[in-house]
Amino acid sequence: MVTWENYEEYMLLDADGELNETEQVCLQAFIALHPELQKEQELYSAVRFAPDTTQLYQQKDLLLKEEPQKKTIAFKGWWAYGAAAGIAAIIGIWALKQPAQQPLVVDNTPAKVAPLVAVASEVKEPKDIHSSPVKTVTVENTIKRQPAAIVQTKKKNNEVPANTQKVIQPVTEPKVVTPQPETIAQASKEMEKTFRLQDPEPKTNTQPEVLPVEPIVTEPNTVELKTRRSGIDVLALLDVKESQGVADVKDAISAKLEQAKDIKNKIKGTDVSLRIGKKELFVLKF
Amino acid sequence: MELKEYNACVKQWADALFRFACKCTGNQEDAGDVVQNSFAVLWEKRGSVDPEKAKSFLFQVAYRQSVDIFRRKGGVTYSEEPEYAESYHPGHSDLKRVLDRALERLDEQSRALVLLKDYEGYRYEEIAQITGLSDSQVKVYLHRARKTLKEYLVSVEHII
Repeated sequence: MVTWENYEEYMLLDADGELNETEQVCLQAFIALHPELQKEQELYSAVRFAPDTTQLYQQKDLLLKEEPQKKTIAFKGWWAYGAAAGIAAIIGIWALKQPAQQPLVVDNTPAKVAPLVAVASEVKEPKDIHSSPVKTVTVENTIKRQPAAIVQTKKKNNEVPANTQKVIQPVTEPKVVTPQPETIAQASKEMEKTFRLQDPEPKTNTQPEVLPVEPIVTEPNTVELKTRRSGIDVLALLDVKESQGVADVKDAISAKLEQAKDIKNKIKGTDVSLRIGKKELFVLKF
Repeated sequence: MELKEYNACVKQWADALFRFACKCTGNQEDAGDVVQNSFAVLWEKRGSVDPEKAKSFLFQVAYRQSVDIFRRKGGVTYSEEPEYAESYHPGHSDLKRVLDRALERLDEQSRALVLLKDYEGYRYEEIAQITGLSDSQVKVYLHRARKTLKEYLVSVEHII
C-alpha cells in the first residue's frame, strides 16, 4: 500500500528495479491520484546510469592465456634413417630365410647325455603247445638307463664318440595278458602246425622266456669319494696341527714364567732408584 | 575453472570491468590496473572459483581495489559550479555528462553501489555479497545516493 509516508521509498525501489508488477501498479495509481508527484518520479527515473558500450578495454589480449603448445621435434634427415631401417630389415629377412646350419663345436669336456630308454619288443609265443591250459604270455622287458648313469663322451671334430661307457640298469616288469578263448584256439592250431614243421621236438619248459639282460655294472663315483676322503684327512691334519700349536704356546708361556721367576729371585733384596742429576725421584725396593 | 573458461571471462567481462573501474577510480590508467589485477587474482584462484561466479568474483576484487585507490589518492575534488550547467536540458544528450558529474560527487562506496546496480543490474543481495555489506545497508546507501543525484539534477535545473 503506497502512502504519503512511503511513496518516496517506492519511487526509489522503482528506480532500482526492485518493485514487482503489483507494486508498480500501486505506485502508478498513487501518482495518478497525486499528479504533483509526477515530476519527482521522473527525476528518480532520470538518475539511472547506462553503461557506455563504446568504452572498451584495449589491452584485453594481454589478459588472455595461451594454451601450452605441444613441442614438435624436427626429424631431419629422415630418409637416412629410413634407408638404414630398410637395409636392416632386408638383412634380417635374408638371415631368417637361410637354412639352419649345425654349428662347429669342439668340446673336449665330458658331456651329459639324456638317459636312454631301451624297450624290448613284446614277445608272444606259446611256450608249450602240449601243456594245458594254453596260455599266451607276453613278456615286456624294459631296459632303462637310470638318470644317474654316467655317459662320458668325447667329441672331436664332429666325430662319433669312440669311447663311451654305459651303465645300464634293466628294469623288467613282465606283463601277463589273458587272451580270448576263441582266438587262443585258432592261434594254438596255427602255431601247432608251424612248430611241428619247424621244431620237431617241442619244448616242455613252461617258464616264460625272458630276454637276456646285461648285468648291472655300477661304477662308483671315485672322484667324489676321493674328495670326501681328502677333506677328512685335512680335518684330521688340522686337528693335529692345532693340538701341536696349543702345546707349543703352553710350553712358551711356561718358559717365560720361569724366566720371570729367575729375574724376580735375582733382583730380590736390591733397590732401584731413578735420579735426575742429584735429585732422586723415587726408589723401588724389592 | 579451466583455461578456456578463463579466456571466455576475459572476453566477456573485461570491458564491463574496465567501465566500472573507470567510474570508480576516476581515470582510465588506474582502471586498467584494476582490471589487470582482478584477472590476475582470478587466474591465481581459478582452481577454487566456479565459472558461473567468476563475474561476481571479478567485480568483488575490482570494487575493493577501486575503493583502495580512491582512498589512497584522497578522492577527486570538483568545483561547486558545474562547468557545463548551461548545456543541460532535461531529455538532452548532455544529461549523461551531468549525471557523470553528479556521480563523481558521491563517495566511493555509494558510487560503486550505484554502478553495480545500474551498469550490471545486480540485485541488493548480489551487491551485498560483492561489497561485503548487508542487504539493508545496500538498500539504504543506494537510496541515499539516488536522493543525492536527484538533488544535484534539481540544483542544476534551478541554475539553468
